[in-house]
Amino acid sequence: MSRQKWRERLDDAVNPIVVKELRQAVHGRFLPSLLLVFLCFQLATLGVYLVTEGASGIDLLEGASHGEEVFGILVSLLLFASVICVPIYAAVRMARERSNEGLALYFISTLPPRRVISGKLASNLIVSALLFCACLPYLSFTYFLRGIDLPTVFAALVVGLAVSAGGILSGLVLASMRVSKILRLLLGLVGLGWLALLFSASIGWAVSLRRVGVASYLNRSDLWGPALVVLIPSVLLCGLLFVLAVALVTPANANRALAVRGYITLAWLLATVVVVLDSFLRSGPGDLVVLWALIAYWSFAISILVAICGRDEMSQRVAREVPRSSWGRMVAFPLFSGSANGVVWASLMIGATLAVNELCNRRFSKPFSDLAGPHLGFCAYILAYALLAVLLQRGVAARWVRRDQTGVLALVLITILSLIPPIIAFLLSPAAVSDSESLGLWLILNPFAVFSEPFDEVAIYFACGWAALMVVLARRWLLQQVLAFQPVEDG
Amino acid sequence: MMLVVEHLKRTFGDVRAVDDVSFTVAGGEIYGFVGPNGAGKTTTLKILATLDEPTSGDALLDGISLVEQPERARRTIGYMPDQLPTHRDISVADYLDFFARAYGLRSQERQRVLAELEAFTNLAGIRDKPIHTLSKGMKQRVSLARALVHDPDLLLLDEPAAGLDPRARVELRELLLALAGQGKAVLISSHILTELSEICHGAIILEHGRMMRAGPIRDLLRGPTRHTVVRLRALEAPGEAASGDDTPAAETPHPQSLAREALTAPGVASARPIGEELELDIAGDEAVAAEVLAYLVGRGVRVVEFRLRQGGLEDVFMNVTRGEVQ
Repeated sequence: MSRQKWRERLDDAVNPIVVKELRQAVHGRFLPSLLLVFLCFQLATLGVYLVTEGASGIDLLEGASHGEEVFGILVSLLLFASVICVPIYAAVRMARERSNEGLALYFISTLPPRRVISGKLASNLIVSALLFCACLPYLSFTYFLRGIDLPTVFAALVVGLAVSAGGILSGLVLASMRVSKILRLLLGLVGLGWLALLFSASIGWAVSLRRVGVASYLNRSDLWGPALVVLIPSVLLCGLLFVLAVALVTPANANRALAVRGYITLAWLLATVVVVLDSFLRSGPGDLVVLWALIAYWSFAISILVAICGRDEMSQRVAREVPRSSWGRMVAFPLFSGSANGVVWASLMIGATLAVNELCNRRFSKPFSDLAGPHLGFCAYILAYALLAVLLQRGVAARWVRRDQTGVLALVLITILSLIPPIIAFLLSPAAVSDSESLGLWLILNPFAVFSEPFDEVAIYFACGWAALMVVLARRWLLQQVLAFQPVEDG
Repeated sequence: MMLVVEHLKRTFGDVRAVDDVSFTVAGGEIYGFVGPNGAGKTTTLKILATLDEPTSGDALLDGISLVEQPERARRTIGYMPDQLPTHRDISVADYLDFFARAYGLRSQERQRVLAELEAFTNLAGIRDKPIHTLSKGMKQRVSLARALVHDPDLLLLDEPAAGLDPRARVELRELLLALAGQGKAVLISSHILTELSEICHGAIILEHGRMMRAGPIRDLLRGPTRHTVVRLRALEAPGEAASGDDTPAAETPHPQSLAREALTAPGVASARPIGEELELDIAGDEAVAAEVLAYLVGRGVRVVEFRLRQGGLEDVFMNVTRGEVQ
């Protein structure tokens, strides 16, 4: 095959979004400006440092920590550009293309959503990589100033690029949501907070790497344990963000929950195997179990609130994918798109997490109430509030609250019902409610009551009872969707 | 190619933007989509372009549901919005190249198609210009070229002639006729009804989201009408001529007083002086028009010309809509 043919094949294989985004980045003002400012800052930082240190009579090549200091400054600049600026750039562009006013027409081309998101991710990662390339000569120069080794420089760059990918994906997820301007603003603020968190975490990692020096750990086995503990969840989180972003740009009547719930279920299984093995190796549940359980409980509780915003009616498109066998349908029901499906899935996952949590505790003689009890109560509260919001939205509040706002309604209910009883108590007797302990049963509608002694047990039992009652009251809503979960008739 | 729209509905809260719209368009036909502002034209076109989802109802393109299988249907739909979404920092050639790639056109085929499109839409001279610097007319051409890049069977054009100069409108009309000649179905929304009636085989008239009439133009023109428009010229009454000037009384029309006189006739909804003539909008058919003529003659009006104005799409539109917007 001729070189021309190969070039054409390669050209055809490139994601169209990457081609478009990079062409726009090259012709636009953002990237050249960022690159120029970034290079000037680095040059100025290095220049000022060398001049001031040189002027003070210190032999730069003899000092042990000059490279380390300059490295710290340069890496901070690099991480700011790649973890804050590039994800914001990616998110703003995506949000503009997803807005109702200027919805980009490639969303109605034959490009699948997966290619759209992977193209966005790749093009913005290339922009980040360009910044890293611009920084590389300066960072390498710090090696000659002593106090830093090249593997550390390389490791810091890898961490930085990975965090940048996480930031870009987070930005794409938030920007892919087609919401009102107010909610978009709120999401923007949440995104900024999240990016600031990622930035500070990545600075922390870079500082830790600089302190320990990666080169001295390269031949030691204890490098990979902590590295994997950070790496695996990070990769899983990036995967989840990718799947979420793809689901958000997929048409609403598609079975878009399947990929998300399937991915989370598999990630949960993988994490469960790891933490159980870790517990057995340590002969007792360690911090990893606690971290795993906390992430699982909170994620699935939030999933309930997200699920109730979904559709009650199954689209023809989803119905076409419903398995014909009853066993297949039983497995598929929680994973498929639909509001009740999501609630069932999240409840099952909470139950499974509780079971594993409890098994680990019993195996290693730990009391039940450590983690599982309060979180069982907390998730029961969330389920009860979610079902209450469903009943209200599908019933009396349908005129004022849209179906896709049911989760927000649940949050409003949680806030109101958590606050009003203590306020009444305060109005009745200000002196008697000086702290949470004295409030007692006035906090019974607050989901966080399960975490405060001595009423935690009462709150847990109350939450479970209330959730069971709400399930009974919402049985028609649940059963209708379960019974409607049938495949499309042939013809 | 056959587009079948079945009971399409789209609501935004309490507002029914599209309310039970059904029609059929076949390949090679140009259908005008007409209605006052807020009638639901753009919403319907967006649903047909798979940019939006209907609250209920469906549209089938050769049997493929636009609601259930939008990805499949998109291969055969070309959509041109009323305004090209803002695209900064990208040239015309790069923009079209991106869409050709997005529709999966391979290297050599892509180059061939883009060269043909540039020639067809006359874009060759501006191919390297950034899109955001182009005039409205040029952007419309780019938008049309983009909609055609994957050779769709159905073209949905939302106000394609808006903002175009007269020459560009004539050229657009010729382009649309050429596309229909290639067997493509074209659904075009526009306010310029005279232009639509020249090129459209049929029309769909919307108001308040409801479909008032739909069908081939000849059927619409032949259909029952609530109004008849006539042009009237009459000589001034002898008494009125005594104004003191030298103009011969018999040659001086007096449309204002004639209009007042005409409005007293039963069935005359409005009377509008147009030069020496008077245009009467008569609520009713030709029989009512004849009664109006008899009434005016009976009142001593010296009618020298009374002719029915040839109806067009504009008349049909005026007849079936009330001009209210949502």
